[in-house]
Amino acid sequence: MSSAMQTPSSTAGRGERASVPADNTEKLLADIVNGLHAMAQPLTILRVAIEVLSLPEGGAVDHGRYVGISARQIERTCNLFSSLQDLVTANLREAQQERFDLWELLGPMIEDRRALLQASGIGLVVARRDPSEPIVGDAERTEQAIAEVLTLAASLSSRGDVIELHASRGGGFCELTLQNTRGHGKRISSSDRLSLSLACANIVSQQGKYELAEDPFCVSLALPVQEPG
Amino acid sequence: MSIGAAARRVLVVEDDIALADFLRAELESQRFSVELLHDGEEAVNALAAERRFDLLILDLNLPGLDGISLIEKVRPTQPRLPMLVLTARNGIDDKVKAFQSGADDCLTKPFSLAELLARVQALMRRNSGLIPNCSQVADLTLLREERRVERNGRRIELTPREFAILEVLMRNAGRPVSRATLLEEVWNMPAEPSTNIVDVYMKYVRDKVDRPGERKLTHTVRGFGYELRDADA
Repeated sequence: MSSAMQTPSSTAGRGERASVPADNTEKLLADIVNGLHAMAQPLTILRVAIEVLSLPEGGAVDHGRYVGISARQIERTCNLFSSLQDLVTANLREAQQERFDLWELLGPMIEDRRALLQASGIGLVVARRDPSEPIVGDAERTEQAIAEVLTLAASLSSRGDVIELHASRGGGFCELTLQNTRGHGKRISSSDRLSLSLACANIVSQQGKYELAEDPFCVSLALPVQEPG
Repeated sequence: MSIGAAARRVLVVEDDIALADFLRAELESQRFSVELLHDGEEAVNALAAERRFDLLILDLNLPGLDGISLIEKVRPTQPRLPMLVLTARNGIDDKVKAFQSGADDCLTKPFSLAELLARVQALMRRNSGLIPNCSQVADLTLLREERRVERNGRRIELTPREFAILEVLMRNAGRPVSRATLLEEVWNMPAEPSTNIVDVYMKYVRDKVDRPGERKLTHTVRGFGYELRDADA
């Protein structure tokens, strides 16, 4: 089982433009290289498809097919580009530090995902053992991080699998653990890794903690809480 | 289903499924017979098994076993197999490492189809220099480019599948060729003991090649396959 853990290291004040701490620079560069690698795949398909589309009509080429392929790969490239932008932003710009109710934020998203997953024969179970003190952090980044790992967990799951989301509190953090105990031997592609890098950056940038185990797939995201009193 | 001999066999090892599927479609449209794998370890197993490929196209960034390690494992046992590396890493070091490990060529993503096909054809040409256009066994002549077969001046009309069978037998003249090899090279199918399709087609070939009164050139190797040889030689 391989795992990686990131802890917060940025201490810039609110509203300042935070620079990337030296120990994060190497990781950010590696994440960007991985993101560029992910983008090279749809760009290759796109380049070839456009090349074929530029051939004169009337031959054996099915132009409609190549237009469809191009549209899908443009979509894919744009999504990856957007993730790369968000990754850089999460590393360069300071996160908001506000109090928010985690379950008010996540509830609707989890219900939507549960319904979608159910249609594919995949379960989503939430087990909460956390009191309801508010989180102190960036709601938007938290939502994006959890959406990214939920999407990835779903893509690594097969019919009959159950994705478990466990929530617990301790040590000043609310820990969310998302796992699929049956998800053995699944391949994590470079675009999946970009999603994970983005989730990691979004959590770490708000003084949280991130941990990944690939086989079986398990991601832990720990967010600072406002302790009672 | 593609027909071997006419269709050169290409193994594509690429972990991006959309790109792999797309490359397969493009190569098949150019009359290549393509097998896809997404994992380096699976590719080593496929190449170690009795599977013949005319070209290996592989990504460097593979799960299971990375591209460089894959080349290093396969190259000693397949010194003549042309290997084309696809990489999204544009660094000189990666390309040098790929060449040093035994790759024949490198192409950086995103590449153009024209360049990919030109490189594939160049690699195939380099390799196919070992197979002459004309093969002859006794008075039987096969011209690959013209797709023409003659015996003692008599033109033999063969279907593409029959031509492919004869081409494999001519290429291996004097050596027995197993049914499994014919099934794989001509039908691009894995060995399947229950099918008699090879025997059925072999009968068609034999009826056309060995006419009554002519010297027998096609021979059955009991329990194994077939051999093309001049019995009197």
